[in-house]
Amino acid sequence: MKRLLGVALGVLTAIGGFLDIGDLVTNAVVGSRFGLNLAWVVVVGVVGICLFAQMSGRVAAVSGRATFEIIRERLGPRTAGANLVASFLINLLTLTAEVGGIALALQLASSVEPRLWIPVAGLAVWLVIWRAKFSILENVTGLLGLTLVVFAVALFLLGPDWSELADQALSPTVPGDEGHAVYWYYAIALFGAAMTPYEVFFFSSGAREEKWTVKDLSQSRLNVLVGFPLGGILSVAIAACAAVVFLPASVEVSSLSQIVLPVALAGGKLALAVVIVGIVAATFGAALETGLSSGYTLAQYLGWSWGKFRRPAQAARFHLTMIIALLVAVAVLMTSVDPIKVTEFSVVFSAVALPLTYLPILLVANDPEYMGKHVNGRVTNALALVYLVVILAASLAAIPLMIATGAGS
Amino acid sequence: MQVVRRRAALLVVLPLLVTAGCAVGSTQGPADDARALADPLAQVTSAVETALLATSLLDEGRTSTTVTDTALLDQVHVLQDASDAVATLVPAPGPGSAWQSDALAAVGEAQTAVADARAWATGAGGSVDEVTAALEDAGARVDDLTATLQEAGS
Repeated sequence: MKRLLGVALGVLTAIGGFLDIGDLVTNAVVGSRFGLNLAWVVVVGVVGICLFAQMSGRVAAVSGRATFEIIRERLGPRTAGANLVASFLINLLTLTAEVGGIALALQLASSVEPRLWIPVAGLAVWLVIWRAKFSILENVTGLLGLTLVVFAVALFLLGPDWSELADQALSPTVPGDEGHAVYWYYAIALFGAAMTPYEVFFFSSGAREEKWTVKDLSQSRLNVLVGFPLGGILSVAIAACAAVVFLPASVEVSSLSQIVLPVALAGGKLALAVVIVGIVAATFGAALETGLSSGYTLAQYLGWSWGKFRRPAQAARFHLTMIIALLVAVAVLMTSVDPIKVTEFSVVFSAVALPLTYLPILLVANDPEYMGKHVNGRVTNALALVYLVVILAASLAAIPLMIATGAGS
Repeated sequence: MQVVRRRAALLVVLPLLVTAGCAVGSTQGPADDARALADPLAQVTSAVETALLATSLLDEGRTSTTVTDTALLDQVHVLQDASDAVATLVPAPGPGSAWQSDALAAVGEAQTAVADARAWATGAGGSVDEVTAALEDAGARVDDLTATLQEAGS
């Protein structure tokens, strides 16, 4: 019974923890402009993150090393150093977007300007990282994030033309008023939102935090293979809500306040309250994960003592890194930069940086010296190679498409 | 050596020519103006429709004042961006200047309607009927102008 509860908790946490500000914003923007014509990208992204997280979790559990320890070992300090700089900066960008997302969600609940919430959000994130146990911070935010299932409920209550939505999702086309370049730009943004590198840093380092061994592999696989696809369904529900309410009215989503309106339309104030709680939990949870990931990446590369399982005094540089990352994120947001714009950039740059972490993990997952008999099987490798091509293509095309389309405008 | 020099000169001259080609009024025609004005007007349509949805939800008791206020404030910013985009356009000789004036007036009307909606939402005054009518009028004006511009731009 206890084991069953543990499995259920893991799956529920994976569902709730799947969504962050990048998924919320990108799916709503895409839904309002393209309907469900880009829903296929969510499917591609979810299969990709399942594959990537499953490989990195297995590597961490079997080899006893987290992502950046392996990257440095495998690529050498110089190449891994360049990799670290890119990954750390993109993680910092994502952290900034998540802290901004918390502030925007709190503005919805209070009407207080986000700039006043930003330092409060940063302080709260730091306090939880400093004081709370790893399992508590992971499970509480994941379970509260589950309230975002209200988007799926809202979609049913809105009573959409299901055949039209299915037609968009199953026979995707580029809408007449949108160009092909913009369509593909948003395809990459959605892909980057689903396959954000911090998820893998957090997942593999979390495996070390929770002291996974080979015995835990089946549960971790279940969490990923059930939890993430269900999280992906919530992503599609967000896009579908925007497609039903905003697309016919020619509304382009550009703020968080617009994203919650379809839920209010469908379910009234109660649903609205639930979705705001969900957005705060999702962004707060992701801010914790990205904050921790900044400490994990740097500490693992430089060989510092790291981990929430150690007291802060025993991992002082790990904690100091997180404090500095949070201070930088807060300082950037206090310049009045639009957190939604930061989010839009962060998901695209996530796609750009993805090969930097994917390739080393793929190499190690095939290395018998690290993995023994737990190396990738043939099917996993075939799929992993297909994804390597997809990830490289997305990474190379992202910046040219960003320039050509004026960041999708 | 001469070939190398020519190539170097080309490398310097070509970017200069491309940049100079973007100078004010250099290659624009009425169709370019129409297309340039259509984009900010699409933002205005989006802002007005969002404001209509937010006010009707508040009127029906389906949302809170704080969410409506935030949604309307966000649309004020969107309209400001649209206004800046219209105001900074340098039209080509022809109907562009008149379109620009119409677009500025339409954006201004939408800004007033959204500001009034925000005043109603926060209890500062006005009625929901007046606010809705003003938003619908602003939306209709933008739609008419957009139709004209799309015809001219195609």
